[in-house]
Amino acid sequence: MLNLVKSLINSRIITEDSTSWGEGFGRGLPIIHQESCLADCPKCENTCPTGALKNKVINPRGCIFCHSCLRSCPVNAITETEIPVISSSVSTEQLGQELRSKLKKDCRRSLHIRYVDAGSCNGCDFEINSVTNPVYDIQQYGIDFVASPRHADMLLVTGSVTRNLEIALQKTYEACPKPTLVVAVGACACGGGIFKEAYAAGGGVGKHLPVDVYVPGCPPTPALIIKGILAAIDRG
Amino acid sequence: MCNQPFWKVFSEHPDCDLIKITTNGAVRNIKLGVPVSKFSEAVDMLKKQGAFLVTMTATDKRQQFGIFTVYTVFALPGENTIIELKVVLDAEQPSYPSITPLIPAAHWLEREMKDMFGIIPVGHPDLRRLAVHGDWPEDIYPLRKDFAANTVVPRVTGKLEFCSVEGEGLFQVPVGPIHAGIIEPGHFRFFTFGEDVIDLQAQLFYTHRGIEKAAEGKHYADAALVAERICGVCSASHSVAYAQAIETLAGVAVPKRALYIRTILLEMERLYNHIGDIGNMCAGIGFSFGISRGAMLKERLMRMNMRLTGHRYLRGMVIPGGIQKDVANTSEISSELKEVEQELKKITSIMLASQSLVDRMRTTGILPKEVALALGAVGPAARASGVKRDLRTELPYGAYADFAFKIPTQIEGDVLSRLNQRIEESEQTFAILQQAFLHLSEGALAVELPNLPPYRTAVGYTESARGANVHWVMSGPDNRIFRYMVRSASHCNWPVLPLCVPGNIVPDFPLINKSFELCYACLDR
Repeated sequence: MLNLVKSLINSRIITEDSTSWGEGFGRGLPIIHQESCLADCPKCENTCPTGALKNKVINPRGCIFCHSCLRSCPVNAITETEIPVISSSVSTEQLGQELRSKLKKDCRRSLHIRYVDAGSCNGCDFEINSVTNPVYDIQQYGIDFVASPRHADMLLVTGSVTRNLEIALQKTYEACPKPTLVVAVGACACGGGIFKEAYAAGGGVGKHLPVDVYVPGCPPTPALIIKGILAAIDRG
Repeated sequence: MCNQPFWKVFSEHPDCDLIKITTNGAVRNIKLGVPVSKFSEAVDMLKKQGAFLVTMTATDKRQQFGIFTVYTVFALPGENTIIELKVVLDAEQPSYPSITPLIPAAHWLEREMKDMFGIIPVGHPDLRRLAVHGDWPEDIYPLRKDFAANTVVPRVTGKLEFCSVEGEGLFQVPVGPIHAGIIEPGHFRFFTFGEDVIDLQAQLFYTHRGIEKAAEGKHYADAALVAERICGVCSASHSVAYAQAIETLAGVAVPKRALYIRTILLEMERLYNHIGDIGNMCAGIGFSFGISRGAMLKERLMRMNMRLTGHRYLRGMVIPGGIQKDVANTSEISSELKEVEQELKKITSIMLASQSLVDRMRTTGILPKEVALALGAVGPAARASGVKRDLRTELPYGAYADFAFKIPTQIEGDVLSRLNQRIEESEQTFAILQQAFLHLSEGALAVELPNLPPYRTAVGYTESARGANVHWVMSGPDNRIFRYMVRSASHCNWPVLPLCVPGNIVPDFPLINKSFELCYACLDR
């Protein structure tokens, strides 16, 4: 007991915020520099395992950040850039945009999140766990995870929405008060990832729910996940 | 006859067929064709020689040769030998005598083969569905070759199947698949009498994506990306196991520097998992000091991974043939590891000095040694019950033969043993890492692979933070994957976990579950 108290007294605050991340946003999104790219060279497109790279443009939602294209380029015309979080402007939901804006405004300083694993590899989920650790401490933004969808303003979904979780995800979404913000975390949730052609994989959250913000990355770092969550409540 | 090695007895039998004996480093690989009628006898003989089951799977070669084939891989501890039994089955009515009555560790593997291939293990005690759920139509077998990977399979009416548990005053408590915390999905059905758990059954495979099917037909280099993404927190051990299988098929030796870097990756992965789990087990009992200190230390390790490889989960490093990208900041990381080691010592000594923590963990969730052995439990969970089995020393791979380290074990098999096991294993991991960093020599990172011979099989394995991780690969034409089977440590341990819960109370389940720390994604694939 004495050692425990001693250890607590001797510790310092280690929490970081968006002005002081101790590390960057991780492995970046490939970007093709058109000026140095060879016109008829198909190498990067042929090597892309997900088809995210088409006509010399990379779709960040389809990319799994394997950087095969970077290595395939004979003239080094591909480099990496910070992964963007993507706000989706098209909402298929019937509820008015006005109500959504009000929700975002109301939740700016107090947001409750229900997390759902819809078939991820556990990587994104570990990183979501990390945002609650003392270093990232997501509670400093007034954001917390809740156990019930009934208490949630936002669904944070990882995974490609597998066949066996499709119904569970739908039910969780229906149990949330409307309107509900939906944030898709990770390459599988954003575009189906590398398994998207498999019979049980599901192809990503966008095919099943209206998504407000996509956070690409394989997995996205905790800092990027926080950035995505804040973007969804217009605090980006 | 008993003094003669098992495989010799069979290879001299007129019906059996010794396919190949090869050596891979210090490990001997024996491949033996056995007729269906002799299969049980062969398995029984192996069992009597002390062999343990490594993996078991099937292939559909009806288009090429008009047959189904079942491959069963065993390891003979002490003899550095892996034995693969090949059994050819009829294309129309594929069935064979189940080996589960002989080797209970095979029971989920056989059920999975039934779901995926429609191959019937005759005499299996429990042929309920496992990998496909109740809404999957009968007679659709996704790993058969006439099933296209992108098929949209309709849903039929069906429900979860549980073995019945009946009695006055018994309640059923359904939990999941979506859980309250930030954890993976699975359905647990508790049968309780008051707070006491009488029985626990789990319905898993919710995150089943069809990874093995997705890998089929891919070039082996592309399938490596799939291997790396089976599980987030076992990325390195999956990708190394896969790479080793491909390297065995290609018959190449990996450069020494690459082997050492792989060791560093595998041990860094073990370390962040073990330290994360040590902290997380405190979450099972609400010991806040351990939770936050464990999480902080784990975060520090994740950032060290980032500086070392550019990825917090060590992805994008391992390729078949070696290593794709060199490690950076090695001297800085190796000295920081010493600080982490001291910090871990401090935290765990404070944890273990807490009487309330020890009280909750002692005698909770006991896994008896006999059960661990019979059901083929692996990893820290098995070692905490006194089963001294670790593939790093049992069937040495990579560079592990170069390092001095011990395999700690415990006796009791309760939650506290599994905590102590992780603490002691972490100490050994620090030792391995220091040796690997010290002796990391200059040299090539990878070798070019020749074309893979088609329709050959190979097995690659690693000891991940959770236990044996086995990748079995059959090559196809044009360097493509014909069949890919992944048996992770979680596949071995998931059937074991529910057996440790009855006799405890419902609120102890999260603690017991955390002490095993199994992956769902690794199992479900």
